[in-house]
Amino acid sequence: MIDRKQKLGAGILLILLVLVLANRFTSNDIASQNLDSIFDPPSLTYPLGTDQFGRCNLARISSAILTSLSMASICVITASTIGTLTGFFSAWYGGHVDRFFSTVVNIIMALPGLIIVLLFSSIIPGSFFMIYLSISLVLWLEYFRVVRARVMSLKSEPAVQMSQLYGFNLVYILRRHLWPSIKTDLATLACFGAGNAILILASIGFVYVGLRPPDAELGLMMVELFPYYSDAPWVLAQPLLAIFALVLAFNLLAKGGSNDAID
Amino acid sequence: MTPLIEARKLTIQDQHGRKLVDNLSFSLASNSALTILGESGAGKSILAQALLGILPSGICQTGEIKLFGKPLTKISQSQLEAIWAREICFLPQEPSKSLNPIMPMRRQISEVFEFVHLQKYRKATQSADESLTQLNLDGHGAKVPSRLSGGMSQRVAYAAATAAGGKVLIADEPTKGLDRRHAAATIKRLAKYRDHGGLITITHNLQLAEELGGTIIIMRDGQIIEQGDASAVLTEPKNSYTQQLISAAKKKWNRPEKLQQPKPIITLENVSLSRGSKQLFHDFNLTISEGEIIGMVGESGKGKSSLADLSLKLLKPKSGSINYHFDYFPAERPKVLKLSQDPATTFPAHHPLQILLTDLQKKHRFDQDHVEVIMNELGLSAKLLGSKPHQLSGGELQRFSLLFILLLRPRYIVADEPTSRLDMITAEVVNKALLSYLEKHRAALLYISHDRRLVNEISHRVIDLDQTN
Repeated sequence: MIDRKQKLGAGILLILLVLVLANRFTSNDIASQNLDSIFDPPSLTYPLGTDQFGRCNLARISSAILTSLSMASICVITASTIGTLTGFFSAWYGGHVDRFFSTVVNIIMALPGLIIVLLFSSIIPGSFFMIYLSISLVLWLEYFRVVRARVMSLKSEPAVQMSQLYGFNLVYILRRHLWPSIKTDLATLACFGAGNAILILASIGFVYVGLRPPDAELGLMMVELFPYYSDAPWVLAQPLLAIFALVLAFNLLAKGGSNDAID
Repeated sequence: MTPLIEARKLTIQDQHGRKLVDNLSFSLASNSALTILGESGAGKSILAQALLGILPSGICQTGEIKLFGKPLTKISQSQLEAIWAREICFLPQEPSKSLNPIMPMRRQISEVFEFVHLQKYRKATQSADESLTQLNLDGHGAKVPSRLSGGMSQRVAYAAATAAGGKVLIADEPTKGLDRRHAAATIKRLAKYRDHGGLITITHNLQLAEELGGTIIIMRDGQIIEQGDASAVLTEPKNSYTQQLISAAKKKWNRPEKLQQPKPIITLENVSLSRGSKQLFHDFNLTISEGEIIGMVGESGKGKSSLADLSLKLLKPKSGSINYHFDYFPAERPKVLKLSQDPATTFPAHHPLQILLTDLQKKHRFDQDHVEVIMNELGLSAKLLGSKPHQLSGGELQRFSLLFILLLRPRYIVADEPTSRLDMITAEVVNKALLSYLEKHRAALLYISHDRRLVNEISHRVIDLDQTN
């Protein structure tokens, strides 16, 4: 069931997507500069005004939101698939398999997530792929731990034993036993994970390690606009608001605690 | 004198408007016993929750409940909490669910002494040890519930439930899963409440009802169908359902004929197994032949279920070997299956039974006609297939478990206390279907039960784990 909080979260996401789509109808480019009109107030040509180089704010902010959203979604998809599968196999087979994956997870967990991302993205600076790889590497741990713990207890349940006696294979056990009991948890993790991915991307953008100009990225926009905060606070406010709205939307979407397991 | 507990015109409905308890009236006088007997899923357990004021949310209740002469609606939450345990104890049905799975047994009991009787930590631990000794559980205080058998957990749950010293006890299936000796001890303990306080017992165990005496209420579909003095109801039942119940409980079983020169199908050779530091089996040998019915009895914790799981190859022995000698049977069909004690845990919880049945049918291909024949035999209506497991009663679910098993035509079935949670009538249906299948298909059965009379009647030979080690 979808509750009111989740509807609100979905609503905010929808508004942001409309903003992204709205940019399709303006012909402004994210990189084309117009030094005659810096910090222009909103007008018909520039619906959200312009920045310090006279670039269209709407074009830049919607491109940045799109970047954040696509980064978040591919990271979450990768992390949840890998985390769920490794967690399942780790708990199901136990022994060496479990020891191997658990050791890997413990090693990664010993490092703060942001350090890993900084490390990876400084190998090939400005690479979208490296950032994607490193964020996924940080995110899959949670899925691994949740799924592993769940499967450990599931394995000894009579219902699973019964399915094995009936001759059903692993895929069946994943589909009928595991999936229904973890899908709510996975959805919750995915929402928080998406919020986290957006924050990580913006954080490294803010310290100039992430994507490079002239790309539009929320963290990068903030740090670029920072020197002009007294001249044009309303321009700086735009990426701030965007990131706030994105993270809020995903946290609202996450369903905490109130999941009714069976109905 | 005011009755201890009184219910008048009590009706309880669930979210969908289904009546779980319908227009129920009864009262419990002090120093007396009241036994509520009836079908699995007749709303007995929900009644106990209503009496304690702990109905789950979403369930609505009309009518009146009085505790010690005071209407439940006029008792505030904090007053009610003061009544719980100090005045009215509740022994819940599943010790495995009511005990904390990660807390040592001793602590679960000593908490009561510490926080209800306000004893010091050390004194409370001592008191807990005393009650463990009284219940014959010396040396088990440091263990967590998963390391104890069902019967042992049941006794710990009893100790924790009654430690606060309430005079009235509401016991939900207190003898379920207990062997005869412990059942007798439990009955003795319950009788103490009957004589010095008050006792409400919810059960489907006729023998328990007989021994406790007092008033008996027979329930079916949430309604009282017969009420009266225990001996009168049990010797001269007026209602036809009660008559059926009593005749099912006293039924004599005819065991199927033993086959001439049966082939062995499963052999256990020099099998050893230990649980923790305790050795359960040492160099144990067993040969199971086709068409053979083997009964297994023994006290809780002697490893009955472990032996059964060994024979199903669900457990690996520490040493020794388990060999199957099946032939001529379709290779992909499962040959060994298990009918377990708690049907509620044997189905994936989130799917309607129809989906599970279809899964099975796709995998193993059996006729739809065959499904209908067996469902008829088990008294299952096709309407139930649309429900998810938790919407059905234990009796219905156990019959579905058996349906799934019989459809696959296994050569060997383990029945691990298959009827201990069922009312007598359902138990009879299950046992009957099981035995007639064995006879028809020359399959073997390992039947685990605490009911020695039943085991002796149906089995060709009996393994008594109390005597083997």
